[in-house]
Amino acid sequence: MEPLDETPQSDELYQQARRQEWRHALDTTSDRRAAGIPTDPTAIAAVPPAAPVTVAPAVPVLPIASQVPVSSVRRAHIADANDLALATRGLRVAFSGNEILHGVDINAPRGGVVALVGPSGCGKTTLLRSLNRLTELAPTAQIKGQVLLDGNDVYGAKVDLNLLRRRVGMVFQQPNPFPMSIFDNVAFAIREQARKRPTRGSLMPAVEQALQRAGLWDEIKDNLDRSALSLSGGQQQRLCIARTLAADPEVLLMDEPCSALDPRSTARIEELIVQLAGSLTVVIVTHNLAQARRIADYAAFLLNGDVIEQGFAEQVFETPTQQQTADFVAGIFG
Amino acid sequence: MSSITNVPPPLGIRPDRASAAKSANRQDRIFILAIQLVALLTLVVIASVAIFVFVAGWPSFRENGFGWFTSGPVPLDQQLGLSFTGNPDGSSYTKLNAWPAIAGTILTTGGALLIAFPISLLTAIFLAELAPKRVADFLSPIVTMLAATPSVIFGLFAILVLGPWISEHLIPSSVANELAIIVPIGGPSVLLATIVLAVMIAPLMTAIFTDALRAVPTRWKEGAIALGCDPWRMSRRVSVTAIRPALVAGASLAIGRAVGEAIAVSMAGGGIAFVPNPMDGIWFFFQPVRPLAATVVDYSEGFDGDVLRANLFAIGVVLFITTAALTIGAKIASASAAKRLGGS
Amino acid sequence: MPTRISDRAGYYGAWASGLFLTGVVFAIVAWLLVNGLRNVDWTFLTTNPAPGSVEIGVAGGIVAPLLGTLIITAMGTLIALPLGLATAVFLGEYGKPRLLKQLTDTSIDLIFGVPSIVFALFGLAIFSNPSLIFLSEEVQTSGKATAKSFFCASIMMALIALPPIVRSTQAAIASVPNVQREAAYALGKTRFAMIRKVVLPSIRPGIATGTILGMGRIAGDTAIVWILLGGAVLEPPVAGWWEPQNLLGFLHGTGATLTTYVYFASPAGEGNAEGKAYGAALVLFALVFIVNIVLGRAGQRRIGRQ
Ligand SMILES: Nc1ncnc2c1ncn2[C@@H]1O[C@H](COP(=O)(O)OP(=O)(O)O)[C@@H](O)[C@H]1O
Ligand SMILES: [Mg+2]
Repeated sequence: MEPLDETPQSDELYQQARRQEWRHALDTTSDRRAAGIPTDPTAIAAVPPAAPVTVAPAVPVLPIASQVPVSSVRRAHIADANDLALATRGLRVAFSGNEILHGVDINAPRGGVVALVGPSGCGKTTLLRSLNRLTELAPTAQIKGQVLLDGNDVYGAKVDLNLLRRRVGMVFQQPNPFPMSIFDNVAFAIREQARKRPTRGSLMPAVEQALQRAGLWDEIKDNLDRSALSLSGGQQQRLCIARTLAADPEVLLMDEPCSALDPRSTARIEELIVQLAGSLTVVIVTHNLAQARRIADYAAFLLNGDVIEQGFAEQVFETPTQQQTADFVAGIFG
Repeated sequence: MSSITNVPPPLGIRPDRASAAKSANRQDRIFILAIQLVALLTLVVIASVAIFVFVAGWPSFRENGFGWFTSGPVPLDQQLGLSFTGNPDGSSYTKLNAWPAIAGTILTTGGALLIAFPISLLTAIFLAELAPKRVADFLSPIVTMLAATPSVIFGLFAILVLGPWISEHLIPSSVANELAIIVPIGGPSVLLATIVLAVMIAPLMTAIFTDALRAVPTRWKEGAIALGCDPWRMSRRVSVTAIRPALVAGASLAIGRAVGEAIAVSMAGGGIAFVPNPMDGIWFFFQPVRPLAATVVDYSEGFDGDVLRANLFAIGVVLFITTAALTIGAKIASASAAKRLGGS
Repeated sequence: MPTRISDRAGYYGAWASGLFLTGVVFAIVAWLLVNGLRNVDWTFLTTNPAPGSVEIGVAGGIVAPLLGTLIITAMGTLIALPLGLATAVFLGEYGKPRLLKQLTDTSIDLIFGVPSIVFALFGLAIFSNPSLIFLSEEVQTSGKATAKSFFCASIMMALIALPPIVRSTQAAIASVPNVQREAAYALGKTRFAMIRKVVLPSIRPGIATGTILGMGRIAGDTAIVWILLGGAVLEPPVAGWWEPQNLLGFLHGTGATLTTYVYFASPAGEGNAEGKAYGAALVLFALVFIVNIVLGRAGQRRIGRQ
């Protein structure tokens, strides 16, 4: 496999072909996707406008909804672009009074891959960590606004934080496998949810499935008892994905998951993300525009704590409506 | 140009020895020699401790062989007394069966570890992960204070407060009278010595465990939290696993401290070299002990007697070897901890 | 809070343990204050110990033991400080040959781990050698040295103060950024000059912290004093001990510190004077407390500000 990072960004055709390859690989695994319309960028214009935005019952009025481009394609693996798995409404985050996010509204349609892009320091990580309430681990953080998971505010009263974090899994920038065996890493979340101490045998199917989904099973199936720290960086990151998948999350948050990896491992993980889309919703932060183009269905461009533009990835990257987005996409800053 | 070649390379980069030696001027060479000599001195000191104490204690081992570590027909305290005064006929008494003191050390140290280890680990988790920052900032120096408290103060607390309370409230006089034929039981006892040691080593272990927990990389802690762990589960499943080597190191140092503690144990142990008898049920806990280190202090008036002197130094040898082994063990454990934390 | 029963037990156990240990400190401090203050007054602080009655063996105050603690702490620290600094600089700045570094490193760990009672025995073994009579006094009958004097005790005390000094200083050295060293070298400074001008100034708080810890260890130690300074708590120092002609003789002789005084005055010793033991214990605790908390805080704050 050629290292994808060496591909020029402008080589659109190559990327489209690439994307289609990956989507194909998923056809057998995702029934949602199989039922949908094939992904063909040339078909964008042909697709009829999406139905007027309707809001999932529990979701309050969506001020941002009208921004979802009506003319764009409905992705094959996304049943309904207006069915939002995760959304933020007026999200403000400040550290010691210094506001980092100034009222952010983000939409993550169910089953899609949403890329958060923007120059370094614009608040992407902060936004992502606010989605599963990790931001509040910093004692100086103040958070206002809503984060809606299936329409319910995760900052609301009586939210079970630990359940929330299992439903909204997270993969970090630095691979962070625990200092235990590979098996124990993957079984971690299952053991965490179990009332009684599960036996190894009873855990094995779930562990295998998670490793399969993360595309790591074949490489390490004979070494499950090896220390996870002995794996290569790319393997460690896929192990972390497997570890998160084992908790069976609905949403997967990824914070520049490839920034510490070599191109080959990066390609491997991108492939994985595309395969996972559909069966869960992925929100991925990336500073790598080429990567965002390759994998994202939706994109949001952040600048200094504001969402400048969001919508279907093609639209944001190819025909941005805002000058700042155009400059960013053109590589003028960032 | 020459000034550039004279610049010693920065320390982060190891200069090759030849060029460093060439470039260092005279003042530097003297300076380096001086600090090397001082470093060598610490080595010489610890080696001399081993040699001198061993040489002085050797006669005791030579006379008793393996029997030194066993129990004998003559009570240990009587043996130590005789080794000072000599036999009635004027010949010297060289027998020593130190098992009662060894047993005292094992019982008090083991008991103290059993009590203090869980308390220390839980306190460390509390301070490092559970307590609000203000509470932790307030309590940490207080625990440090406990670690810095002179041991004689713990001994005093034991002998003036806990001891009398135990003998007044926990030991019926009927039992005391009944057991008095075998051994006097009372406040100062194996239990009291154990409690005192536990209180002394708990802050030491707490400090080591807390530091280790605070050094667990944030990415592991956040990883656990992102998988749905609350702070307690995170500490239990990830942090405690990660600091396992520090647990070994801390426990080793604590055992060393307990084994070597002389004064507080001498005050709290009851002052009789007796092996508490588990057959006596609950009264086991109220029987006296005189562990190894306490024995040295208690007989310190007798260093003029050659045989007793050799016996006490032999105890010193055992203390040295035990604590040195524990120290090396702790060192190996922390080295593996460093590798573990750095290896990812 | 946690849902599983075992988790709940652990969670509350952690709180309970933290509060328990704190409670122990407060209990000991309260107990010391209540019983100690009752026995501490101006005369207690300004008179020498004296033999008491048959039942209560100790009368008088604690001037001599207090003095003993201060002298031993000062002398021990004075010996340990330069040695500790040099060792720390060797370990942290030079470290060659590697074997010497590893052995020195292990030695410092061993000196920390080996109990003071063993050092007391070691002192007894070497200082009683006739050739070292100049450190103590001669035993008339055997020609050996008594091995009991302020000098003998201070030298061994220096040993137990060494590890904290070395480790704190070493940690401070490690936190000096390499760029500062490189900058000094770029100015053509020798290694010695670099250490004196660049490293030493910025590691002063670390040295202070280590010294404080070392002083606390010395002031709190009983075993070395008991064996190398003597258990003669009731002998007052000669009048005018500080005058030059008396000082050397005084430091060659035996004495007491607060720790041995407490031990002697407790029911475990021969003095059997509870009140005196309480009073001295409070003074000792206050000394260690002040040194550790007040100076320690100051040192930490300076480190924090860097
Ligand atoms: N815990 C924190 N405390 C204070 N400031 C923070 C914290 N986390 C992030 N920030 C600040 O928030 C801003 C955005 O950071 P981040 O979200 O990491 O940006 P990005 O991921 O887009 O590079 C930065 O200026 C950073 O300094
Ligand atoms: Mg970031």
